[in-house]
Amino acid sequence: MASSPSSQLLQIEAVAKTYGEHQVKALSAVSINIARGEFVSLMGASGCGKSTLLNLIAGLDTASSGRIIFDGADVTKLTDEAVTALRAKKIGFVFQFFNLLSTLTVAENVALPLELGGTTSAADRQKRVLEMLAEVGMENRLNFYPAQLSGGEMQRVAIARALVHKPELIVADEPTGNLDSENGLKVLELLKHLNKSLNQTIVMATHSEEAGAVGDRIIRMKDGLVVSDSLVQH
Amino acid sequence: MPFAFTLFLRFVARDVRRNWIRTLLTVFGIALGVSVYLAISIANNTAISQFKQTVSQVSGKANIELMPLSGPALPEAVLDALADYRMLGVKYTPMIDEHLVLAAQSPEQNSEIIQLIGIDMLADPDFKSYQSDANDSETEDSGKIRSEDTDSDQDSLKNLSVFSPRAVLVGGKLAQRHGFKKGDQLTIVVNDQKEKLLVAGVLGTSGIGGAYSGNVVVADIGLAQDILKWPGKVTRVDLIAPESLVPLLQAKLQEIVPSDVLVATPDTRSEQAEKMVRSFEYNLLALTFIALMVGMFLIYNTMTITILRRRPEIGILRAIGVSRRTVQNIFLWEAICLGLMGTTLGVVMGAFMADGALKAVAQTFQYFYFKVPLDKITVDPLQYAAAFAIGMGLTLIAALPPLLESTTVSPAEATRRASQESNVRRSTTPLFVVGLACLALCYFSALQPAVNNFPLFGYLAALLAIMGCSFLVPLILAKSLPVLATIFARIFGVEGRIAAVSLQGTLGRTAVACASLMIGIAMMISLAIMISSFRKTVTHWIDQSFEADLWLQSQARASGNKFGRLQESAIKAAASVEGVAAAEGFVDRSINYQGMSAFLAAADFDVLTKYGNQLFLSGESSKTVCARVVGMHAIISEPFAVRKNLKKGDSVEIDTPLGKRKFFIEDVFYDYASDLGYIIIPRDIYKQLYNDSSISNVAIYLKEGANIEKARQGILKNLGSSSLVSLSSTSELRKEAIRIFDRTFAITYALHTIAVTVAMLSIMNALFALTIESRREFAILRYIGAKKTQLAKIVYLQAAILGACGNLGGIGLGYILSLLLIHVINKQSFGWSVQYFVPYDFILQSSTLVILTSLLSGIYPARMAARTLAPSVVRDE
Amino acid sequence: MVRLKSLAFILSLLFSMSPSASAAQKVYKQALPGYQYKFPQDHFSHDQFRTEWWYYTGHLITEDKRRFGYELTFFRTGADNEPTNKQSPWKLDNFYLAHFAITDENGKKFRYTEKLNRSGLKLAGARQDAYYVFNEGWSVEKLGDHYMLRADSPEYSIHLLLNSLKKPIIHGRDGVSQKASCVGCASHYYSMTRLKTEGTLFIADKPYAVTGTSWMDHEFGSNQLTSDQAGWDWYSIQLDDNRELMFYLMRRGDGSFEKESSGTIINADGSSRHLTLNDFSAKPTGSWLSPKTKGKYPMGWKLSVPSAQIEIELTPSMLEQELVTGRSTAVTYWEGSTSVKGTSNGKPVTGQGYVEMTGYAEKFKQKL
Repeated sequence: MASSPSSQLLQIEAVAKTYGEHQVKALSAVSINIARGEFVSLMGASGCGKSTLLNLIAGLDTASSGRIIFDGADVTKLTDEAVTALRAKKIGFVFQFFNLLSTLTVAENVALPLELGGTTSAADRQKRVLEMLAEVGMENRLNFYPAQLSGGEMQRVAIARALVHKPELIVADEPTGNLDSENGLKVLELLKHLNKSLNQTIVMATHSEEAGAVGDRIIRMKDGLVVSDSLVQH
Repeated sequence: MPFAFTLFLRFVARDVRRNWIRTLLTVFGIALGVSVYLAISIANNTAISQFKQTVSQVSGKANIELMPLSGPALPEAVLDALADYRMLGVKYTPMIDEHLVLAAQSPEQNSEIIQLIGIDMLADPDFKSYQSDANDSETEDSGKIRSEDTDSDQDSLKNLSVFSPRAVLVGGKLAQRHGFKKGDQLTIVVNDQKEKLLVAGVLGTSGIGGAYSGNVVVADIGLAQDILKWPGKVTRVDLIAPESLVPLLQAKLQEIVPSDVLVATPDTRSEQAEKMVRSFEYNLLALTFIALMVGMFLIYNTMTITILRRRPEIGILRAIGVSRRTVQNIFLWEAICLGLMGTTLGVVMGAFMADGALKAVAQTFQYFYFKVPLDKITVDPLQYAAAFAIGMGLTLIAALPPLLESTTVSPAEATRRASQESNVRRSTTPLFVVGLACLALCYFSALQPAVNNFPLFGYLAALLAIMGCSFLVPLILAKSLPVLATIFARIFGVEGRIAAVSLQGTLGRTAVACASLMIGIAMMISLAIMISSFRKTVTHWIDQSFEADLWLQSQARASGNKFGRLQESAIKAAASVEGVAAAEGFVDRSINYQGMSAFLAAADFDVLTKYGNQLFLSGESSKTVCARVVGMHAIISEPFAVRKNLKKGDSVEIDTPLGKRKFFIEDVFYDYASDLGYIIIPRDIYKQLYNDSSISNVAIYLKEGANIEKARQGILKNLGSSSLVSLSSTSELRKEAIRIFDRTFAITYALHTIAVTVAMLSIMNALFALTIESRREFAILRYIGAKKTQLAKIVYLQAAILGACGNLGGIGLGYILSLLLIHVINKQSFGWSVQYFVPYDFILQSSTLVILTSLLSGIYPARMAARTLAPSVVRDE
Repeated sequence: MVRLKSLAFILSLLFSMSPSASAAQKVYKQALPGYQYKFPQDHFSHDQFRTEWWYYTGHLITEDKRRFGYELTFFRTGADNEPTNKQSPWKLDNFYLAHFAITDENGKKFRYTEKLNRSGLKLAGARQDAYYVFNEGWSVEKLGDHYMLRADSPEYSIHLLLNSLKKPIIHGRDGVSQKASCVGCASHYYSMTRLKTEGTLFIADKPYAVTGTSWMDHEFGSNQLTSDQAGWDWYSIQLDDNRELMFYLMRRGDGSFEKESSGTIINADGSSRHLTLNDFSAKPTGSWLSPKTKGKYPMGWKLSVPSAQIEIELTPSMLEQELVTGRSTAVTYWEGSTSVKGTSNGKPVTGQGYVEMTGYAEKFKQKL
């Protein structure tokens, strides 16, 4: 993964996004730079534009204007295929509702990104899946189905799935939004741990101050604008 | 109610509109089912009502009829006995109503079969209502015989009337087609002779002129007898008796008429006609029910999916205080709407298809059963109403389980997020048990005998087989999909696994889609097996039993008049030709045996013993059996044996002009020429009993090495140039038989194509549903980095799995159904033994086609899947 | 006579079968002078003549004094050609027609029915070896000295036994009743002018015993009508002084009467005298317009036969006694019962009669 020598993983330059005929502004001229290894908390109330921003970063949505340079490539200029490939290789997602595939087992869910990428051998895949599940503490739930797990456990599996292909960036959208505080805390700790031990870059959108505080840097948004950007002193 | 209705409009109708593609598929599926049902029932009904109409047009106000039992005609001498009953106010008149071959009137035309109606032109007007330009243009009092003639100046034409020698009235339709007008000549073929008739006038469309759609020639009774060479014979005697006397008179007359004359009411003929075609009609209708049933699955599927998909929303409704009943009602309205749209469309389509359906079955009706023209459908509002009721009824039945499910949604579900599944998953095992029970019942049912010659239990068995197999599907899928997932994962990678496991995840829908495809395919497979078995059997039978080298018959018979005859001398004329080893005379006539039409035939068994090769049920050789058929012995055809429950060693009593005669049944022979059945007796006995030495055809056996062409020339020369005959070789005969066979089954092919189409709609519908259901998964996969092509691949694989499973199940169920069709339903309906034959090449081709079509039906859902907008889907949560 | 001639003409048109050259023309005997009548043989059918009819009219009275008139006529007409298939019962050698009419004089109801048949199988016939003529269920038959008549229709049926009080009266001269001056333009014509009648009249299946007096005509011949005759009036009168009168007037197109028109006066002792046109006069006293056919008929007559001292007035028992026989003879005619009043041999006399008028509704026929 020596594609980019730059310490900057993500450069968001004056990105704006409007929806629909009525030009509803979701984002207006947002510019943010994120360096490798950073744990950024993106905070703001519902509808402030944080989810839109995450989707733009992941290439799931296209910006109305501006540039998004991810690992040296302008996401806004890439073809859908290239963006898909980028996502498959370099980004991992964690969602509020876990979004595990109910019909796949824990191990299968985690293996999914590797299988979709289709480059790793079955043996390597298995090894990596086990490693990741061990990392999130779910190694003893390999053949469980999502429905058999608690919310916290599901989110850990989701995190393992997000990590399994060693992405450059983990995008987490309200990862604790659907968990009780105890489980939420555990998930946050896990993310923090990954950030520290694996130097994993994480962008986490949350509206919870408590969760946001786990990050190294807090970017606050309101009505599609960045209103503050500050480092957290731990 | 207003609230429920507004709720329906906002909550259900908008959703139905939003998912318009699926709505369209469902509606179209029901429509197809209803339309084929309607088209076929209209076609069937037309045949019978045309028959009835013809009866009433020809027989008018008659309320008693004398009908022949021992042949196509009865002796007119019975009229003598009727004279005494005039005192009671009884009127009667003889009738001739028989086929006539109209020769090609010009080189570019073909000969055709028309109807000759012979009436007493002087009879009471109550018996003969018609108008004709031969008489005058007065319409108020049709049937009068008039002296005035206004339309012609020429004296010879002026004096031309129905009493002029060989002068007949011609039906309007016939006259129009050939441009016949008063004074013209028309050429007919009677037996082996061409004859000329004179047109005395053209009939209008009322009364007799409208019978047989105007394809009639009406002659005075004496002339009609002359034309047919039927001196002293009439087809029927019509009586008009005071209504109160009818039952009494019927009983009294039966005592005084000869025993081979039946005293009946005009309804009897229609009833017999109905009975005769019943098996054929029910067979067709049963096929349309398959299409309807597949349509039902479609409804069930659509409704189930709707309700599952909307469970959380239903939960919300329940949470805000909407009652279970209202929830059920608004979805009931949805079912009614779908049903109404589908059924209405179906009725409209059916009305349009009816003409085609009639064309497809017309020739079969006419060839095998009765020759009434079937060129225009008879519109009976009841048929439409019935189709509508059936469409709506089946829709509502199909919607019932999902409707019940809708009431089970609790308010708590409003907050639940997990993907929902129907009860099917939970009940796979109980369903399986029910399925096994159905199959057991099916087996038991298949062993039951026919009820009144109607394979009631056979049809029940088929229904049970379909239900049984459908109930097995969920468990089989539940058990096999995981296995398939592993296999597919190995072959197609993760997409394979996802395809299989998500099918597993929506087992209810998968099972229904699979089952409906299974039924559609089963029908196709079973019919293919039946038809090819039948075809094979018939070909084999022809090869085996048509031993003669040449077949001689009169031109009239070759043109389709089954009662066209030859002089007995034709046998000698053929036998005396050099190279001919033997010639066997054969004659057949339609008789009425125990209230059913059948054929009585007579053959020269001495020749048959030496040269023929009938195939007998007992397995005994033709020689041995035929040698025993002398005196009052007979052989009967298998359909006859089955319908009348007779076997070798029984005896059969038939009405002859000399009274009842009992024949010992030597054996039962295989025969596929008619489902009405044959009794064959020695011709010397026949000649005595029926005073009829004429023959229908001559089977000519050539000596080893004789030149067939030379023999043909020789025979024709011997018969003389004035004799118009048809002399065909066995291979020509075989071609003709196969042509008729294929024509008979043409409609069947058409019907199963439609059933399969409905099944494919059902697959498409299921794929749509699955794709919609899988949006979340697809979105997640997109987040994770799945390519569009990978999503499409999943859909295609699912399509393939559904197609393959449906196909596999279809082959299995098709096999069961084909056994039922061949060994139970057709055997009991028509009495034919059919050798089982599986057309593997067809099954292979159709399987390929089914899977290909499944894949094709995945195109749109796959594109939809690929277009999945990940954020909106996931965010929607 | 007149009726025969017209009928012969009409029937010959009706059943013409001429266009076949192959069919053999049938040759009929002509009615020529010198014919010797023989009874009962001459009651039988004369198939060697083309046309023949037996014609009964009469007046009936029930026990409760309800009066009825009746007409029952049997016609036979031979075909032009020999039948092609002589064996067939359906051969067309003779056509048999019949008319049956009842006049309910009290109820003022007139009903008629007609029949048309070939011999067929017991459909119709007239024997040449016995007096038995029938058409389906209608018949006249000689039983000993009596004649039995049967006819039925939906509303009325009769079953009558007739006994002739006088010998048959032969009309015309020298055994022929001349129609026109040409040779053979004639028929053989006799009547039984006073037949004592008793039997049963069925009204809607309910039997009523009836008695009364009938008149019988029998005529046969083969000739064609001359084309200038427009119609005829025929009168049969039974006077209470036991005399009877028959007369017919043939009307020509120009309004004059055919000079061969004639009649017969029958005396109480059974003797008779031929009457010529000069012996007879008939003056209409009124007229009636048929609402059905728009035919205008004279109605009510003053008859006078000075040579027999007869001056009588005829009053129809009802106006509507018109028959439109579309199905059988295709003739529209008025045939009705009339009552008679006047003087005979100088003494007041009453009686009854039947009058027949044809050719008044011709215009209606032309229109068809």
